[in-house]
Amino acid sequence: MSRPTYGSHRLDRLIKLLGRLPGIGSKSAARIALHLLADSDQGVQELMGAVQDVKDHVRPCERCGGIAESELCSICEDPRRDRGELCVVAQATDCFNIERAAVFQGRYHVLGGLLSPLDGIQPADLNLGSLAHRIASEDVEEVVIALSASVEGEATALYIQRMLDDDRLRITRLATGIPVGGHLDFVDDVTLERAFSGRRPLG
Amino acid sequence: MILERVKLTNFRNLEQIELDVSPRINIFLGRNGQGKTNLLEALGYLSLGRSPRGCRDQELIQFDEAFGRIDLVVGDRHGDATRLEAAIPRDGKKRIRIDGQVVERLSDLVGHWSVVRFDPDEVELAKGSPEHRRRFLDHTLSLSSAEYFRRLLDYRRALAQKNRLLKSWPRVSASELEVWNQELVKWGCPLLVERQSVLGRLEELTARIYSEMAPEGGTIELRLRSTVLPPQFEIPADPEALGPTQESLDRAGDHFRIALEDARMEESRFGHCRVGPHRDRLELLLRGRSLRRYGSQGEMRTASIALKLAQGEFLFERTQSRPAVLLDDTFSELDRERTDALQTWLHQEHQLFIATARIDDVVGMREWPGLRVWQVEGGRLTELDDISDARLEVLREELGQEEARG
Ligand SMILES: [Zn+2]
Repeated sequence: MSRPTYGSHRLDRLIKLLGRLPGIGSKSAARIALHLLADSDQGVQELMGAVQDVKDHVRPCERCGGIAESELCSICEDPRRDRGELCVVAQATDCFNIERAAVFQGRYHVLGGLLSPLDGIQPADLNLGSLAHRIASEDVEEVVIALSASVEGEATALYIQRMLDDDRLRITRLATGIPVGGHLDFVDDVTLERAFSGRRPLG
Repeated sequence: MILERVKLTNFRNLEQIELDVSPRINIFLGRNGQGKTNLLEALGYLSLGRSPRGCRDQELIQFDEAFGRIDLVVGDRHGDATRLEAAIPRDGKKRIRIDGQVVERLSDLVGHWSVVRFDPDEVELAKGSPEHRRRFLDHTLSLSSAEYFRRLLDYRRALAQKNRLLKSWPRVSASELEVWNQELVKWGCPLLVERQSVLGRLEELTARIYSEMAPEGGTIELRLRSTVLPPQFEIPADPEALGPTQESLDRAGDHFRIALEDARMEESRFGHCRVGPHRDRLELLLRGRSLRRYGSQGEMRTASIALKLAQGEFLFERTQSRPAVLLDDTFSELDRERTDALQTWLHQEHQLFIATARIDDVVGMREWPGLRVWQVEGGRLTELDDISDARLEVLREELGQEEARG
């Protein structure tokens, strides 16, 4: 099946690359590409500069895997954060959502995904070793598992629970309110607040 | 629930269709390959968000088009209309909306638009494999309970994950496998218990309908043979509980864990999970003997129809709403008596959608109230306002059919 082209392989290529970004279909990709084409040179330079700047200076936090501009992220560096509570999330963007809702004063641990053999993701592909290490070395009293209620989220939560099995450690899971199968991305602040205040122990 | 309006865009060979339909009987008349089966498929799609014929989404889109769409307007029993839409892109994920809101899970569709579907394959329901009938059971329960459908999808997902993991045997960690086993138990037990608990009612309905269609034809029984639950697994009736009780689920869970443990060696050898609700088999017995093995062609056909009609009755009991019935070229396979029996059942309050190539089907139903007939040709529909003898004779000639004898 032949796809329509815009008469310029350069433009077609840009559309193809944009279409690989998450959440962007081929139509949106074409719209963005045409917008960039119509934009001023300065606007496009700014955008490209910002992309390069992020690539050069933003990196994963060496402790929690969150977003950082130096060795540690601002949350890990903040002495006012409660060291006893550690919130386990799948992606760095989940930290952002929880921070926005301002419902959690502890620190985070970013797994970098969820267990999913279908996608080739095994325990070794997640930041699980560093999680165990942190719990052993950072006086963590409670681990809050804030993973989606999908099959993969549940399995990952269960895996962590078994891995951390220790009477001195409290392990809790976000309460219902997170839509089943839902991602934290789509959860509003009120729902997140309820989920945190109603979190329940696993076991 | 009554379908009021349907709009299709690029659905298989149906490029642009917009119809107001009859709340009672709708006949789509045309030769094979003109699009009437596709039309019924589109009507059934938004029942559980997928092709009722089991086709992949990409196959449903018209050749060379980037997307296909189905738009339905369905009225509930209070007369309130709901808009159901499916947008199916050639690449990417389909999007389903209810009244404009994108649904997160297919199970959100349950309760809006249920259909019971008869087609030439489905008449083989009694004849085919026991797995075929298990799917029928799952389908029935999914249409009656969003919760069941949701758990079924989660169970299948967990199963796919576990099977993928087993493929990398022996490089599989026990702790990882154990996690997926627990997920299977969690989502699978409600399925096992729910199936057991509705089986009795479904059996009563099927047996009653069967005996009405074939008096003195013997008694039909349904047997669920589980890879997990023992045959004597009892489910105490609890009028307070809407779904399975915790006690039943716990007992089922114990059985499931043991079955998984026992199957451990075997599944590593076969590379897939050998026990669970996905391996349960539904058997039909007639006069105490396997219908599939010992039944006649006619008995199997009658049993298939009885099962389907029982499905409709069951859904009505559970949801207080009659499912629509889609009949794809069903009557042509039936003898006179069974056709009459089927039509008598359908004559109740069901909304009917009938695809047929036979003028005689139109003649047979001409007196029924609320009948509308469309001719389907090359993916286009034309309503027949005139279904007089003279007009039907002309059509008969066009379609090249002889009048039925007797
Ligand atoms: Zn950090």
